[in-house]
Amino acid sequence: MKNAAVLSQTFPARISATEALIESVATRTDNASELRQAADALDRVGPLYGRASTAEVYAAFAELLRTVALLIEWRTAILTAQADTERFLRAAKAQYQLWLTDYGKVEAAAALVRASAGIDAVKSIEEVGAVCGAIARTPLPLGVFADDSGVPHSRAQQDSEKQEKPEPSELAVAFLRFVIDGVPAAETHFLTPGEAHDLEVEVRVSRWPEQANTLRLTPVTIEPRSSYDFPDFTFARPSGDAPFRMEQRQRAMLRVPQGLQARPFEFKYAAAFEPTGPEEPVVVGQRSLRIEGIDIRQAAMTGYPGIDAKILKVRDHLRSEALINAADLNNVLTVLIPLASLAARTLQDALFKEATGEAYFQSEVRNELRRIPTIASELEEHAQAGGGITDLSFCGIRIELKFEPKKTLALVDCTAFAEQAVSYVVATGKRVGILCVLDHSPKAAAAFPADAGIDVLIVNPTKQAPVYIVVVLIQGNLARPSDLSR
Amino acid sequence: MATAQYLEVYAGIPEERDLIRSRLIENAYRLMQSPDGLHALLPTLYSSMLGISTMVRAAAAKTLGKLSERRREDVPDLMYEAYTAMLSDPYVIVHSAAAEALFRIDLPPGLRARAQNAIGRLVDGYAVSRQDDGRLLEFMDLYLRRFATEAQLQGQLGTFFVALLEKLKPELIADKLRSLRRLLRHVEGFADLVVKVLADPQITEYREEDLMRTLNDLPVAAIQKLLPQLEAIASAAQGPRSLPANLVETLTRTGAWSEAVRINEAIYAKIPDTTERRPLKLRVNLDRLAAKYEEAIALGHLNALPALAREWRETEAQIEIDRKQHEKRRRPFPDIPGPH
Repeated sequence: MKNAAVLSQTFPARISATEALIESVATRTDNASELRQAADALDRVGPLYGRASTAEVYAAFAELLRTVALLIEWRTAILTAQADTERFLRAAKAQYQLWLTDYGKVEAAAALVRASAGIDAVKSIEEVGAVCGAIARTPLPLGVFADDSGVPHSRAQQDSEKQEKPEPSELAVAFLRFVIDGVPAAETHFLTPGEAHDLEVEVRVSRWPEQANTLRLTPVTIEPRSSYDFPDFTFARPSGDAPFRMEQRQRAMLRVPQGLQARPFEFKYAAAFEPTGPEEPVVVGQRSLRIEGIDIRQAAMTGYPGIDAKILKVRDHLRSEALINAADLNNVLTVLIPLASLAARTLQDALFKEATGEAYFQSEVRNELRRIPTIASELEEHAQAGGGITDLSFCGIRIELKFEPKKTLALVDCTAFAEQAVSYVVATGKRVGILCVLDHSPKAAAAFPADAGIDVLIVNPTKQAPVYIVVVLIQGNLARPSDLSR
Repeated sequence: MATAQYLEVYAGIPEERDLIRSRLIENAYRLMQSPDGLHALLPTLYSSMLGISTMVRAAAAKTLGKLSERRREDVPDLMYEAYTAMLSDPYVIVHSAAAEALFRIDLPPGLRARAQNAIGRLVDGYAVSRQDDGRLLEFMDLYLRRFATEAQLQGQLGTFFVALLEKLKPELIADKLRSLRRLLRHVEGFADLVVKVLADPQITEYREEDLMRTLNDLPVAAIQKLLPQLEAIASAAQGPRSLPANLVETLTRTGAWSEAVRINEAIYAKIPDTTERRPLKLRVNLDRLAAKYEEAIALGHLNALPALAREWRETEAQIEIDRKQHEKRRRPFPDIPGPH
């Protein structure tokens, strides 16, 4: 916004245009050429205005004057008995439609749009004066200062500038797929640490830059180099026409295993042409490899593969929730592992055959957890929260225990117990807790797999603030398998 | 080669020399402009984010924000996870650096909610303590730009932010009004805020352009509610002519012709009719006549236009006569270019 006054340059054109319009109200006036001259003058001065909207109004006004000039020519042609007079009216209405396309929705030109609405309805020469009068009575905003923005104001100027800019053709590298040991890479893929694996990549390249000899795909990771050996993929310039589809296989290895609490390794492949040129490729597609390096076979959590896999699933779920912090997640996992193990052992060894009630169940679970060195003394019993008494608590993670003597439960039935657990969780200022339910009902059917009794329930006390309850359903009081055959 | 040397030097600096370590980390982005450089330095940057030194952690956040867009796209999500945790760092130097970087960083979808919560907490915390309103304003700006949806802004969130802005000093919010206008211009109370700042002559002296752009972006209906205040500001302006003239532009855009005329009349009346000031008075007379011309059109007084047009042309002639008459006196050295 440069403060150079321009009103003295611009306003004379406005005065001349208004005078011409007022003059053209009279039916016998023939001043189409004056109107066009005024329009040309407005076109010249409009772009001087500093504010785009003022310049745009002036451009709209100038265009409208040209349409009015056609109406005047139509009126004069009829009055002077010229041939084919209707062409002027048709041209005026056609031009007006184009004008509406350009300015009909421009807020700054709204008054001009309203004032010129009569053009479409003109049928007789008597109506032309009314249209001129209506436009003449439309005030225009004042612009005082000159423009230094370089922003084009008129539609024609904008259109011509758009045409001058060529569309850049995109240089893109699309990652189509990763294959590990012949299997398409999963969202999180498991690799045994210390073993070499096949890693195959397939990419599509939209075009090959002039200066480039090779395309290199580099794994980018936060891990220190000593913990992995993932390859670069280098592709030489291919023959033929673009786009190019290319694939390559190499070896990949994790050198160290990871702990349960650790995030999976992440390798994100970047792409660059070499030697480098002025343009960098846009990289699209799935190019991140998330590699789980926990060796469940060598360092099992519970010794039950299905349960271990479920624990990892619960971990991944909770980890993806923004409201759960890392410390709470670790504490939940610390408690979940022995509880999940208990659920599996209860099935294997038919534990809890003669449980007497919730107190008995609680003492069993307490003893079970106390045996775990990382829990032991940190486990509290009957801690207070929310005006109630929680069953067990580990580092602020509430563990609600429930005993069901009659009804055989499925995981979904545990929802009925979730609200109580939630009330303890939120009273502690947490977002996650544990609900462990012992189904001690007499069983008339075979048990379901223990891992199917473990999952995360999402409870929304206020619809906007979810609380996450990890449920472990233990199936006790099992029927003897031979009883189920009768 | 340079990267290897950098890493070697960095590894040799003792942990307690955190000033030099932070300087090196802060400039690491210069070596991370290619995938190779990124690959080589990212583990160091990551461990810096998790280190004990607040200076080094802050430097790591800054460097992440300074990476080019392409390189930021190449950064794995795990890095952004560590970075997001810094937004909740208890140390001012760290969470401020992380928040500043977030203006440029586009987080993976899974981390956006976490970052939003962290910035929301910073806004809450700084709004309650009021110990550093400058930072509070930065965090508000960040939250609005990165996380607030249009629907939220039209609801309580927009009202909450405008209410917070009202508590801050005008000279502070003047710096941010232009960037906030895109998001808050439709929120009730924001227009009043702009006028409040505009009414401070010390701010308009150096912020006039920004403030006028902000004002002109407000909805017409919001400006129309503030006509008396804007007229008062323009009429009382003592500084350069640009502020009232700019306000006249704004007012005429909203159809406030009479206010525009009154402002120009007031400015015209203030200028003494001396030889020295006559060129200015004549130019201001043109502004006055133009406003009166448009006002007459708006009121349908077309019969007044010929007289106003005549007066305009007479004033133009007077300007020319005055220029010729006093040319030597006003430009004693004609070979030296004048200001216009």
